[in-house]
Amino acid sequence: MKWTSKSLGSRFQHNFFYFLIRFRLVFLARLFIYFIVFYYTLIPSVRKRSSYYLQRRFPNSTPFTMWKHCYKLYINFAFLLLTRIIYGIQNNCELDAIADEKQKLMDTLKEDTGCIILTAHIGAWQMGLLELETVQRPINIVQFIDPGDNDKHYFEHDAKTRPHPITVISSLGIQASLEISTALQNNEVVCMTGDRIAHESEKKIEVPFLGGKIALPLAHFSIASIAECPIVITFSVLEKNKIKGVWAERISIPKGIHRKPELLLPYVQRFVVGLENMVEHYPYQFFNFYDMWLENNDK
Amino acid sequence: MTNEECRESLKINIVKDLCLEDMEASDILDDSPLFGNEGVGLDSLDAVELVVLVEKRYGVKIASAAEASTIFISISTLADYIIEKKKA
Repeated sequence: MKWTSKSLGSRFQHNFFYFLIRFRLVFLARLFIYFIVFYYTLIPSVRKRSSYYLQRRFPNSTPFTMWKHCYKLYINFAFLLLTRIIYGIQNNCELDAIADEKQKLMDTLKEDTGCIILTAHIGAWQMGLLELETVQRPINIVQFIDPGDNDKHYFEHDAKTRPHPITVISSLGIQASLEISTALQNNEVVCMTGDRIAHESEKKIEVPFLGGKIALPLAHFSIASIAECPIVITFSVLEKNKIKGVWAERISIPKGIHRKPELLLPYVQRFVVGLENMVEHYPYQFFNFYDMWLENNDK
Repeated sequence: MTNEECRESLKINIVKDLCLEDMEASDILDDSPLFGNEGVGLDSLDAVELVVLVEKRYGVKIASAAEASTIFISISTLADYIIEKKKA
């Protein structure tokens, strides 16, 4: 099963939740989520999407415990999406971060250079970017969007006027490179997720993860090497309806190694260490609903 | 720097900075496409390097990707842009 950005929900279902939140019916939205997620977890093809990850994270589960893991994973995902809508529409969200982690991020953002924020589809990856809004710099989010995707970013609900724009870079190849490099050159912040290959043509590297091998994109690390800008690997989670930044690590990649995967590998591995740590501590906040592992992809 | 000098200097710097091993500066024509299968054949990582090269070597910052798309067509378009920015 390949990755797609398309949401399970239809445009009508998304609009239904937007309607509830606009009328401050959050409790009703939460209630609906329990039923909707329960319904979805009864559908084998939906359970299959999460099984690739869950079978590796919880290898000795019975069918029933596997269903429970699946339910917990999807319920967390649904609440995360709801939190995103609530913030987007009502501008209402509690944000917290471990002090040291926040400091690492903020110190890097004070530097007079472009900066790559590297995260993954873990926890509140989009909401975690809220922290960046306090920084007086334009923010760019690199995200591949499948045609017909209904999902909206929190900032696309336009509840708030921002001093600096948030730009979504959804192009691929040379156009994406130009957008990213000009943004970095102008000292902007570029946010990317490092756990998915957006397109077959992307340069990738194989790394071990959860007992198998996955392919991760190399471009983020190559670009940092060329542009001589720091990368901050950061992850945030949703805890009790509150967004919490829990991991930040600053890395600097030497210039001139951008076409040498073997020299970039140690930096990619630091990202993987972060992923593994998050999966260990927050097993129900890993939101890659497709088969990431190379050895299963041909099945 | 004249436009012609700029074009020659760009060819030398592109071959050198982008480590185009199978290419000499003299192989690059003024109007050959920089990207794609024809012409110079630069790829997406080269695009990033080119943005950095133009700033470091010529002190010219590219304002946006939209601007980059119109100037990173060939050596001629790039040289025209650099000369124009230098004059400004």
